[in-house]
Amino acid sequence: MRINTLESSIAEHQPLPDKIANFVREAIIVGKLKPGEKISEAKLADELHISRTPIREAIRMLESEGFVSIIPRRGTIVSEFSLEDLYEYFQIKACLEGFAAAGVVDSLSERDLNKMKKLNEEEMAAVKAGDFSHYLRIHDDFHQTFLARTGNSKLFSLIQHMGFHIRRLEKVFNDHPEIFVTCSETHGSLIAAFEARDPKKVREMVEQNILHIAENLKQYGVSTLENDEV
Amino acid sequence: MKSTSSVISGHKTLREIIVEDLREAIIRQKIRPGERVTELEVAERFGISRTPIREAFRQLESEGFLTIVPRKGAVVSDIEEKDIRDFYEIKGVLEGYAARQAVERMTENDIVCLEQFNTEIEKCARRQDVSGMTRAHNAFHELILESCGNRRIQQVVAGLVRQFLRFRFYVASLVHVEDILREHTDIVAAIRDGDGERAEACMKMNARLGLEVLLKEFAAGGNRDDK
Repeated sequence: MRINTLESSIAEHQPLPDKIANFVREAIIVGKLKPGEKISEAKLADELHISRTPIREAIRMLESEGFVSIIPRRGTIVSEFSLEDLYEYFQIKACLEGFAAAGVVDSLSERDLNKMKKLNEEEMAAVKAGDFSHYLRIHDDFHQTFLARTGNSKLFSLIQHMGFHIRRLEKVFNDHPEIFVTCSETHGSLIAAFEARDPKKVREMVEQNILHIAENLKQYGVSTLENDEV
Repeated sequence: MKSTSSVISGHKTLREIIVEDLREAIIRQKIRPGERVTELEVAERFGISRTPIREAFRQLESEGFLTIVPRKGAVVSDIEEKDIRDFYEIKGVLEGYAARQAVERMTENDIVCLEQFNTEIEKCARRQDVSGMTRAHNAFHELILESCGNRRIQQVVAGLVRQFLRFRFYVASLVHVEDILREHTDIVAAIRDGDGERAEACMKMNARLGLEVLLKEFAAGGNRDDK
């Protein structure tokens, strides 16, 4: 059996088109493939040592997710993204994640809550130390802790996908950590709402938390994003 | 949801023809969950080479119709009741959100369109036109998604529906048309009253109806041919 980097790096059971989509998506998120850049099926097939059929399917998947656009006679290009677009992804994420969070209120264990408390303390410490890339990682872990308890795996993966789009802004977040910083405080009150097993409050807080980031982004992010794209 | 390639080309590719044929056979349970589908068999039936078949299998895999098992080939995927529940849960959340937001944005003209779609559903149901009814039904939901001010929601829902195409056949059931119309009328009334919360609640209820209809059909499963 031939093992190549793509196959060995990603989960075994995924269909090949999914694996390829993950691979290309990640390249888009981290900016290895830039907005407007052409994606060549033939080149990908060469690089990954696979036939073009699953690649075509992967590209169709990425198109329906909004990461690439297929333009007749021009081929596939990495989608441009504007702050407006990302704001919409934030809205969807807020809506889905708020619902998911409210749904896990009763299934969060004492251990989950303790983990969230610990992560929240780490967040505060990271803010104080000015270590924002660490902060972003913990911030993500915090959300994953309660999301992992949702019984709806499709909902979970959809929320992840909205997160993928948002991750295209990582550079903006790194330049403007203030966008996220207020979260560490809200996370404290979110833990309290979880402990009170109050789904309505939990939902509200998660939604507001995410929309708040989006609002901050609008305020701080515009110039950075525009500079990057020029 | 439109398939881009078929819209552009106008005629169907071999892959598309195979996809549609197999999809239909799976939906109508002519091939059952767990049953094997071989490239060779399909190649013989259509008298074509195996390349477009392989492509078709991949597409059906990503739509959730087939599971490709290493060394075993393609088998028809199982549907589990939980998948159906999960799907409708998400659909209800997103469409509910869209309905709430659409209340602020829909014009009188849009609302009249919604009413016309409902009339169309009723007309189609009377002449037993299931595909016409499905079209009007989808148009109703799409207009609300389009009017929510978030263009991405429509894309996300479309992506979701694409993975659950397998369920769609069941939904356009003529039996439940009265329930569907009653709920659609409630949704329109809530939008007209400018009551976002009620519009959201009604839309979620509509998703729950979809779930119930589908679960009932799902439970009836194997007996479809008798109807």
